Amino acid sequence: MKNYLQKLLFMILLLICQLSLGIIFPSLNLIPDFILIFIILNAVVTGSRNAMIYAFTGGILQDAFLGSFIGIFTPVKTAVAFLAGLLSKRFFPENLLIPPIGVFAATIIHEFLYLMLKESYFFNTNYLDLFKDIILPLAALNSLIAFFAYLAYYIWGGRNS
Amino acid sequence: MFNLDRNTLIITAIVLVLILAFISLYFTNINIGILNWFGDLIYNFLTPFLNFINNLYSGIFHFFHTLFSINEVNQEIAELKEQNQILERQIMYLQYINRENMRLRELLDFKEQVNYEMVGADVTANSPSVWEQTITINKGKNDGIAERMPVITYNGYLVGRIDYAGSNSSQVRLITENQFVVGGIVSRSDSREIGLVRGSGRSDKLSIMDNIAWNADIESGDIIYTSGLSDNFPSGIKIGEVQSVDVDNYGLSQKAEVMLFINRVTIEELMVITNFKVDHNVE
Repeated sequence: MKNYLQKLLFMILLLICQLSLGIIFPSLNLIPDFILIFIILNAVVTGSRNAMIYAFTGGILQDAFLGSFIGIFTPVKTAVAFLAGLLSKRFFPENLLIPPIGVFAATIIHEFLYLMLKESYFFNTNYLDLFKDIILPLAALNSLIAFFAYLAYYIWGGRNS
Repeated sequence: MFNLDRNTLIITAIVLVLILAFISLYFTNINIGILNWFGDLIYNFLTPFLNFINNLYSGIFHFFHTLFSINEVNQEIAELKEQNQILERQIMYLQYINRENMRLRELLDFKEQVNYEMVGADVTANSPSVWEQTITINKGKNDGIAERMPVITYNGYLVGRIDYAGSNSSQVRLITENQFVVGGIVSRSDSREIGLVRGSGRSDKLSIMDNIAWNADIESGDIIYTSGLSDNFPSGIKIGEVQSVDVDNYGLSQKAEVMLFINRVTIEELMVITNFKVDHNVE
């Protein structure tokens, strides 16, 4: 329970950073999805079960900022966390490239699932344009951040063990 | 291939059932009081932190900005004082014009005038998703803000409307949202053509004004204002500038690409129009 509360507070902090980043740096075109990165790294390291609970909570937090208790983020993030959890314990922790690749793939799935559930985009969208202009750069940005976050976790975890 | 233990499968099944239940609620637009209350609770709990961070950042930024540019600030003050005197003279002149306008309206029996009441607000947060064109402001129900109120910049550009009002913060849905529609009118002395301005869903893409009559007089460079034909927005708020005009619906109508004015400015401070009433009986 203590662990869950700690991670909940961390997710709130990440959400506040995510929401404030565009205000502090108005020229940024893409804002990384810190909660998604955290959830996927969690899923890759600890497995689906915990990650889905955190994904569900993180989705609720993000949905609250779109004016609903449970909107699209909650189911999409939970589903993506489940898929990412399948990677858990299937690679050596020294392999620093697997988690960023997982985040890259998860971002693409996450954004496509979101678009498909969003009725205003579903029928009148050029998916190829959105993939080239938004989804791919966002996935690259998220995976770059995930690389450094996992590196920090790996070094910090190595020192503690 | 994948070893999923029993507990994981049970949790997965429970979460999936919950998700399906919530998806069905989401798409059928059923409002459940307790869920709305939880949503409000989370939103109202988190937004004070955002307001605090925004105030802290603004305070630090302005302190150092003032500290390192004291000469520029002094020069700006001198320029503003000069500008202020010019504006005071212009206000006196406009008051005279206004009195004359009122008198002529009365003579011509032209009985319609729009009065605004506004509340200023700061932007404290961006959207949590690249697909949602929303921003959060630091004024909410406690300041008289309600859903569907129009929002403009200080220079009078249309920004959007209040989508959700919390206690001390509100969500503004921007006109760049791809489902946002507002009635527009060409502002030229010899053309008052109307159409519907639709957001493109992206701030780096032009918006579309469609449903323009096939023979309408509209051209590149025309400024589009809100038409005020619906009750959602008052008339006369600047929306954007026409970039190009093309035929639509096989020549039955025209459509224009519109560069929104809000894409030219950084949105930091806004005004919420809390009350606009079309007064049909101006005396």
